Amino acid sequence: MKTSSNHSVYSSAGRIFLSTTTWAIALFVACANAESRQHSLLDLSLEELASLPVISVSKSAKPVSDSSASIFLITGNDIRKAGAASLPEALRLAPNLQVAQVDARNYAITARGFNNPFENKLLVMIDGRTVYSPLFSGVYWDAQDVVLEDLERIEVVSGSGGTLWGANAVNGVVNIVTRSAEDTQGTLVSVSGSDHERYASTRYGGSLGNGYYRVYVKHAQHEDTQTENGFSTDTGFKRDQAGFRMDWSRGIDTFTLQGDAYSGRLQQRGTNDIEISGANILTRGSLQFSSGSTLSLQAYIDHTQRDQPNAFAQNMNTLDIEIQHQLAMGNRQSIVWGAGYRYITDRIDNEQNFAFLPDDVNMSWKNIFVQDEISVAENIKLTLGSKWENNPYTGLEAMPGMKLGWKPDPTKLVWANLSRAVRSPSRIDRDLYAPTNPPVVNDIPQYSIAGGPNFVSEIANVFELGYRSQPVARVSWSITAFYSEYDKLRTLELNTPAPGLVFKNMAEADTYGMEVWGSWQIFSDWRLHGGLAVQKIDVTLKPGSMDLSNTTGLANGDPDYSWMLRSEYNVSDRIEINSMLRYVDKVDGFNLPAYTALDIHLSWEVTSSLQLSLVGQNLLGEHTEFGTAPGRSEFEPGVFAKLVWSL
Amino acid sequence: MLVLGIHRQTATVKISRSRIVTSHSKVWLFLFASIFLIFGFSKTYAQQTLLDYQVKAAMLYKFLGYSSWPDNRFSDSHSPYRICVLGADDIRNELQDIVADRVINNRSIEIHSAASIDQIVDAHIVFVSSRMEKLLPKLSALAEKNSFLIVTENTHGLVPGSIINFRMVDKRIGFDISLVTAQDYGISLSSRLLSVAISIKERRY
Repeated sequence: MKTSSNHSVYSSAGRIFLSTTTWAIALFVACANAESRQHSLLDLSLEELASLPVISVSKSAKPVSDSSASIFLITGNDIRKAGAASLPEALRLAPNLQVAQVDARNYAITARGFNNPFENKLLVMIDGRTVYSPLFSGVYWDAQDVVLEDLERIEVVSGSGGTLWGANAVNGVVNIVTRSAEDTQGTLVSVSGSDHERYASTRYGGSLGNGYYRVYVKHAQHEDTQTENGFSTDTGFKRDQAGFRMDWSRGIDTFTLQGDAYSGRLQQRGTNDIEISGANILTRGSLQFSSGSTLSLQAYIDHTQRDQPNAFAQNMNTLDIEIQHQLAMGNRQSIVWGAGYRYITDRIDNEQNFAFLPDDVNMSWKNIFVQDEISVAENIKLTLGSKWENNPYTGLEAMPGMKLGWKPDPTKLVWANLSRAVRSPSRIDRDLYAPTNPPVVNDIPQYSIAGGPNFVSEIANVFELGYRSQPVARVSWSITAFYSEYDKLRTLELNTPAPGLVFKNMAEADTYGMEVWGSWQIFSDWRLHGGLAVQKIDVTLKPGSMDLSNTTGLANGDPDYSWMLRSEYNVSDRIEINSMLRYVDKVDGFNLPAYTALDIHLSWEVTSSLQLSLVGQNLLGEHTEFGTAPGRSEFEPGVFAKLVWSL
Repeated sequence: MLVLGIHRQTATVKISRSRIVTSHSKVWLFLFASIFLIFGFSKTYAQQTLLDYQVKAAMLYKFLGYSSWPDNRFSDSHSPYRICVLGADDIRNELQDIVADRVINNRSIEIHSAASIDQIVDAHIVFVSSRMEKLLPKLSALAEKNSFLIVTENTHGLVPGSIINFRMVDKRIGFDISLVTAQDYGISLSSRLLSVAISIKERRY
């Protein structure tokens, strides 16, 4: 034993010595090469420099105009111009998202249908950290916040993103990206509010050695909304959050460390407040090699606590690690491959009405993916890829995809996308029982809901066709047509011969539609943006299905179409008038009427460091956005004011 | 994975504690060794390929020789050229490395970087990276007074306020030139420079 153990130490020491030597030689050669290159480059003529083939390692993301996907980019500047009050409100800028405010703290947000507050087909990430809850595969929007002024962009991809992003990215991916600490230097104070909501945040950014940092605190609170028949919904909230972000770069390599912590009280009708709290810490590094390859590593720990009286108290910890490597193979192929591991401990204290059983679980997910972008011809790119994810419920799921992009000239892109997306089960599909302590007859517990022991993954096969063009510098537009076939959608069925109901996969659906948007710079001081989404969702139950899930289940909350028009007008260097007019068609499932909403935002840069905003909200009158009468929330005209002071 | 790790520990704990440590450190040592090997090699091969920022840095240096500024932009005939880089540490570092002992028109070259407009002092060339483009409106007002040769890297081409814009065409770095903006800022560009440009924007009368 001892000998072999010593031997292994020697051999690894030998490896270390070998590798260190190799590395030292490599470094020496590299330096020597670099030295000679520097001189030779400067001695070339401009013509010669312009004729050298180069590899782009620029940190800026691949331009959206090159992406073979229905991707809409909301920039930090768009959010400022819109005068958005909160993160979910900022998402209204994306024409390819359905955003419906349910009450003061709940939103139903998705793309391409199946919308409800327990929506489960949209993947949402904040700086690479997944914020959907494995309890129900959806997002608790009442627990997510960022300092809006520090947002770099929000990438909204409608359609399947499973090949890159994995399970849950069935109908879309929302990628919220905050600015680098380098771009948020100095002090910023932002205070905003209306008669029903108030926000205040302070951020300070400075430098630290050869890097940068920022720290922030934010307070948010919202009054209860009122229902159509004049009652309070008791859904107001107060939430405090603090966080930091540090960024270092060395040459083209970058390193980020960031974290947030929050705590809040959310009202709930007839009970004590829901208490939420959480914290996360994330680190991400990106190494770019001169060969053109990039290695990215990301790891985070996330803690979430939600004590919801009369429902459950959840205490969840997540560890997530991801590695991604991008490299060029020859002149024609660009390969991205990676792997990920997620480990979750979920502790639930159940109450009387329903229970998640088992109450304590430890779960892990593992994935690998590979994607190859092949330049078939000068202007045609074929992308083949797949992700394989192992989940604790159904084992291995494959999410393959194929994309074809053709650029007839640099200003046009025609693309097609074929992919398979998967929503793997979450706890609500498998572990939900009601009531918690059922009567037992002949040793059989008489549950009214008895989990979903045989629930498997929901599947979608998605086909998309798109065209994007910038015919002249002032005009750009995009159109996407999609057709998706869903299978094994969740239904609630009789648990025969046992009592009660169970979750099964007994529905299928066809959806089709299109998404169009564009922008037009009419004059140098006036720009118009427009967007339209049309969709048709046909759900059919399989033979033998009784689906009793009703409103919590399938597609009840989706309008057939919605459109928006945004105008950005610079009255002068310091004054802007921006407005957004949007229409959302009626929702038959809820007997919800169509509505048109108009927001007008007057922004005045009082001095270079002080900006004052006034937003007239819902100027065309009150409207409702989700649910059935008379208990649904009604949103009234109001004035929202904001003051941003930066030093 | 965690479960596996625990099993292995309980299995080996009977043998000896030091064995566990060695076997773990062996794995780590091997991992690090491999990573160093891989990265070491890739860093070596690295230098055979050119990176976009290296060529951009070399071109920025070249632009100095093909442009002329109003006399009042120099305190004397030997005062240095200054290049200010906004938001591109890679280009700044590369420039600092390569121009150290270089002289153009009897002038040495100084490289600065700035995180905001106020930090741009007396620059002759201002390089604005794509993520700092939002500063262009304010910067161009300043450039009219101070004759900055503003260089950008917008993938779609020239942006308002920029005189030269780098653009990748067929895996090569090319550039567009706006003579209109150059005239507005009081900078003259040599015909040699114009002859290499992909496109030239001229004033139409």
